[in-house]
Amino acid sequence: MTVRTFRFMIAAVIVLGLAAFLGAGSTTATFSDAHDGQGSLTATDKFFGSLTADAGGSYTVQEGSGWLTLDASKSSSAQGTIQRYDWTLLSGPGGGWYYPSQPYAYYDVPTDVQGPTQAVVELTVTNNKGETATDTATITIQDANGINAASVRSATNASPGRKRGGTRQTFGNNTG
Amino acid sequence: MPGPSLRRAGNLLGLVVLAVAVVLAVLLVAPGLVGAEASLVVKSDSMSPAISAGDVVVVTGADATSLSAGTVVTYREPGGTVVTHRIVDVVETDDGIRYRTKGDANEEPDRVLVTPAQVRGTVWFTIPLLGHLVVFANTKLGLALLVIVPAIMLAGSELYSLYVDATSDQTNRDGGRQ
Repeated sequence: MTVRTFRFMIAAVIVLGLAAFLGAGSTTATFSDAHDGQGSLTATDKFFGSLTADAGGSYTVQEGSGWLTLDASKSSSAQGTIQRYDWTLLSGPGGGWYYPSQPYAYYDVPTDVQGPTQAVVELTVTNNKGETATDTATITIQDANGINAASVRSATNASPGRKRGGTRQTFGNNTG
Repeated sequence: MPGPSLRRAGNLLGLVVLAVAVVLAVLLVAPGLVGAEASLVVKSDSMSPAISAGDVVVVTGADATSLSAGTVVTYREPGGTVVTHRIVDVVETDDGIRYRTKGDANEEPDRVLVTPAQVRGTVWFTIPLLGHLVVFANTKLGLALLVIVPAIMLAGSELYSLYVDATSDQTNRDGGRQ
């Protein structure tokens, strides 16, 4: 390889690398999740850093079974760090609470539903640059007629962890 | 030392690689220069196998009121999420045309119909794998390996050439005096 060829190659790497770094500021699209057909990954802006919200799920739980842990731990920020996880109830019964600094929320499962019922929650993550991304997750609450609720609770739910910082927030019909 | 023809071939190859890099760079930085609306990095496999995560799709503007089923369209959801899915049905509503969309790999259509106003364009063509480079370039390691280190190498190469030229000139001058 001659010096000139070497320089062409290096220049090509620099041009493309710089363009990939700069150009994605307006060029990042996101596609809906393939796994459940409903959740969606979030638009990200690579120029300022890739930010993706992942609300987890889809979730299925029995009525009256206490808490359901909503897991947003797969959310990510390629540059910067996620500072807030905020949850809202878009539709359906129930509510819950969360600590914004933690990637988990706790959905207070309704004690009684008539047949399978769905709730949709939305996760909004905010990184240290103030950018946000959202994702939704569907919670299916099953009518537990004839099912021992206590055993269901121990099998499907996680207890809320201890508060590790931040102020407890509520969403949906939960005022606690 | 390679022969003159081999050197020319090497230089030509380098030039072609640089030209390809420039074209891709234009598509990423200024897609408008080639008539595109945007170039977009694919983030999931919901459109596979046609479009895979890590691909870049180049989106071109289109008349959003006259799209047909089968067209792969990029639209912005109310929450700001940019989605690229295929139109599977054109729905006439009291409020006008709406598009039902679906990812090829998804079992269900998207929940909400898309309005023409949400449509940003249709997919013109896809560049496989380029999105991985974009994602990598936006990491500290990627920026270092793709930009900073090559820039240092290029500068070093230039300085070395200057040094060689200077020393050879000096040698020639010294030789001329003898």
